[in-house]
Amino acid sequence: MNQEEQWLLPDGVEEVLPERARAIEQLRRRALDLYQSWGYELVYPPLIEFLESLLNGAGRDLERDTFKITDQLSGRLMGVRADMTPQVARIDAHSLRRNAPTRLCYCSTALRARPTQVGGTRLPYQLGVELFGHAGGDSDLEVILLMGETLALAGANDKVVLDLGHVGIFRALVDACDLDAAAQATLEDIYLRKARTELTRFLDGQALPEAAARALAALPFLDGDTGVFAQARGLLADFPDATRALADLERLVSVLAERGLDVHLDLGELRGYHYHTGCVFAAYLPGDSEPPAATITSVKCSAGRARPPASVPT
Amino acid sequence: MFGRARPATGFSADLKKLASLAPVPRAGAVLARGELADAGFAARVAELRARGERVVLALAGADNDPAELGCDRELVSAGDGWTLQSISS
Repeated sequence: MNQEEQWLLPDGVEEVLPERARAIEQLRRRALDLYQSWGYELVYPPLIEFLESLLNGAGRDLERDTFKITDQLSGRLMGVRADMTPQVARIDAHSLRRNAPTRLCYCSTALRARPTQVGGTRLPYQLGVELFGHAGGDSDLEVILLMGETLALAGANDKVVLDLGHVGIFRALVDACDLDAAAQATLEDIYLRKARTELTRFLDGQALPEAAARALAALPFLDGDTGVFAQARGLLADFPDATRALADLERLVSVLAERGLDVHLDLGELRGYHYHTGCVFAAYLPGDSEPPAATITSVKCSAGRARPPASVPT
Repeated sequence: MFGRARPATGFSADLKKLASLAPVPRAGAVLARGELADAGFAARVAELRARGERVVLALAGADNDPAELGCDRELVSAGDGWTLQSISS
């Protein structure tokens, strides 16, 4: 290794120099003060944990994104958090155990085994809030408005495109079709890529109820302004759960519009489908589709993350 | 899986990315040209810092280039006191 190579940082790992560090730190302080003023309490989940605890209830993606190392003290496998959201959910479910809605916020570095995009960071400085213990439009609205204020603090509210969807619509259709796990995975993948010809071919190859097939064929392309609601109502009429999800979304969009927040609807949006059951909301930078500048996720009735007993014999 | 099932709504963002969306104006700073051992000088520096100013001490024998140190004003000795003056770039 020559001297030049000694200073080479790994892919997706960067150092932050003073000018940028000052901008980041200033925004961190202002954002955390904002969350404090909305009643969100700051927590610091641990950087590293035993792998089974860290990944309990998590999906495949998180498992692949997690750096694994062996604990020299216990000999057990540990993981560095790739996403703080599940850790914060565990704090709510197991450490705090409150009955009232719990509002938590956090800001720390996470580590991803793979960057989310080519040339992207593997060390995101993750800032976020979670509101636990309430399922309904009120909590979605509160969190979306707080995200709007966060983007305003960053001076970015007019630079981003707000993208809103509801994974409950897709889920209701898939449930009605009785697809096996492999077929579901294929369909999700096609949805994520919005590959029209592939979708037609896939749906033709399955023996699906006609109304479900028609809705599944149209859903990924129902995007744009509130005009998509009328179209979607007709397509989803036979599916009560999907209709309910659509109505939730419509109510939310009308309140956001009153507050001057215009959203781009994407009814086939499946980002985070495996963890989320409700609204998904993301702020994208134009021309920079992945990853979003900020993501909202509504985890309706998610399972409480379990923490194994502290004294697991090794 | 054990434990409570609680609904949750939240958002998350990469602060590094968020902070890069809008330029942050560079805050000025004061280059203080004096000796910390001088009580009058030290008091003036402390007073400026207490007001929220960023005050950088010029070190003896060092280059102390105001541009590199991010300073747009300097604190210099004037008569029997200390005065703040702007640094022309």
